[in-house]
Amino acid sequence: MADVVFVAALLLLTGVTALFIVACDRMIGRDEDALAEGGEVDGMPKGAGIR
Amino acid sequence: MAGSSWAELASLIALLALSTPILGSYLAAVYRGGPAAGDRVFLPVERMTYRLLRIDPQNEQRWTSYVGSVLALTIVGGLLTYGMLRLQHFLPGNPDHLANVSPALSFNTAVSFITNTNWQNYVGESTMSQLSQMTGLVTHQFLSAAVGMSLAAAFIRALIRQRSTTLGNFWVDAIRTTLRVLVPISLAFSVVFLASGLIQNFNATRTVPTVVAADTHDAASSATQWIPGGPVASMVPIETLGDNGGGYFAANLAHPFENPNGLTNLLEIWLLCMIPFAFPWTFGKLIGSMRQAVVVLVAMVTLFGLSTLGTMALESHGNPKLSPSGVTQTATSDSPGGNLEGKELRFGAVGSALNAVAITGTSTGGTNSAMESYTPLGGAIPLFDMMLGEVGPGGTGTGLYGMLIFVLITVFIAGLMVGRTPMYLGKRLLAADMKLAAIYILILPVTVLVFTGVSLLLPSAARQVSATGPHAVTEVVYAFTSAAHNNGSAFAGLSGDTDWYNTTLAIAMWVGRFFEIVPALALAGSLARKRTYAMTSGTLRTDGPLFTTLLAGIVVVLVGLTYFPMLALGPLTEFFSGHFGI
Repeated sequence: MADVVFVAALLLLTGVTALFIVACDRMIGRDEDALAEGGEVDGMPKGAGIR
Repeated sequence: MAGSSWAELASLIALLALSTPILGSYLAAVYRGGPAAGDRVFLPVERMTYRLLRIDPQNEQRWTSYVGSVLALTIVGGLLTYGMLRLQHFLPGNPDHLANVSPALSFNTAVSFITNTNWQNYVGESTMSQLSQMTGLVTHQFLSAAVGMSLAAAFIRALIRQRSTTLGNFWVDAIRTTLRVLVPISLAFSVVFLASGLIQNFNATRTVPTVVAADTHDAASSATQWIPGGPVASMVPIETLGDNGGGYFAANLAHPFENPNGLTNLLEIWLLCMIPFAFPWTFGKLIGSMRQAVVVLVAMVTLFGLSTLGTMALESHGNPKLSPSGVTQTATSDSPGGNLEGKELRFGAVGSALNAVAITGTSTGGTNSAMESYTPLGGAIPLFDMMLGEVGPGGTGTGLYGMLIFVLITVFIAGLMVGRTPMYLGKRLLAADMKLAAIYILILPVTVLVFTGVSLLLPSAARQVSATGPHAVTEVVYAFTSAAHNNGSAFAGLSGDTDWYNTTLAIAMWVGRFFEIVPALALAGSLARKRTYAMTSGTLRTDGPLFTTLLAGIVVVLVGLTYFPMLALGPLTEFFSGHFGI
């Protein structure tokens, strides 16, 4: 029983990490999409950092 | 400090000054992908490995695929190791007939080795079979080091490329790293260590009379001791070179079969610093600017140098609490002097302190002394080194990209202060980049502080701590700092082989590894997609002494502010109460 719990824990940690990968990819994607559309990213104008 | 102490430090500096440019240039050739030294030997093996594993070396990966490959390799390796430990009694290579490892300890150990932590909640010689050590654990010592180095290579590519969605191929990077760097150096040093007195055999543990009992033939002193065997000389090189730190024996690098004399001690410290210090050189070669590399290297050397000098001075000065009892702590013909409690006489206070800083400044954790016996501040410095995120110089590859993330934060903060565009190597830093850098910086303190707090509050967890007062706080915070920062060194005094600590430390190790790798690679993916802008007079320079000072300052201040309350409750309180009776 304990083996099942710990193997499941390893798989669970892997699954959570996979979700974290997706979340980070979306975060970058939002920046890129907004810039491509000429919009602003969290108040930053297109193509700019903080001036 | 004595003259011999300075000679030991000077020897290490000379060895690192020799290896850094040579290995750094070689690593650059390995990761550039073109012709490299040793092609005649390595290329056929490499091509055969690609064919066997069905890898297309031309197939580049996005950051998500790259990190997904790391995750896939890790979880498969972790499950195999877990299974091997649970079944070791039925497998060959177990001359001492050791029992299967318990589920909780197997879980902790598997996670520990796949994450490059090598935290050991067990006594190696009486828990792990020789097969478990030399395959289940050593395999991960190679692979986890290769993972860190591959990630650093991918991060560097992200800074070089523009408008690119890919960072290279993880499988190619990992195979080239293992075949061309880790295996050859480990093999060479196995022979050196074998000649220096490390053991290498498959003998079962022998019970023999102690030297005194054998000499006197006195029945009253017929004490016996166990002499363990095992393939040690083949494990120690990758244990140190890969910044793993998991030793064959519980005493690790304090054990005479793992580290028999001052020369092996020096060589082992050199090995564990070798790759982390070489990587900035590789970075400079690959981006085509050694001035940028010098900034990173000088920041690493400064942090490492200050820690080394501080710990060596504190430990060689001795422990004032021992003086009233008449203990001599000055150097004599048969004693190296200093605070020798918990230290091996053959290394002395200085050789032990040098090891302590080297294993915590990198992500190694293979101690040659009892960290708990250090003076409060002498022990606080290695703890603080780990808290810095192990960037001075850090782990194999992880140290470089960790420091580069601090560089990006420094660029951002400096940009805010002086009103310049935050830009590094022509890449403009946007909101998502800084969010990812912030996640990278914050994940570790949150993990360490939450788990430490809960462990101190839970009566069942607090009972596993041997000390009381501020020393107990240090024991627990050290354990979680070591686990989360994938270091693996133990402060001692904490009984970690319980369900609570096995599980929570394993979670801390996993979070510290993957919840750092993911934002770092995401940041790399974001940087690779940006175009490179030309430097103008309005761009903040990142290649001078001013920026280097700022970088080292940001690293220390960021970490200092985050961890200061915990340091104040632990080692600082112990220091002030011991010295001033406060």
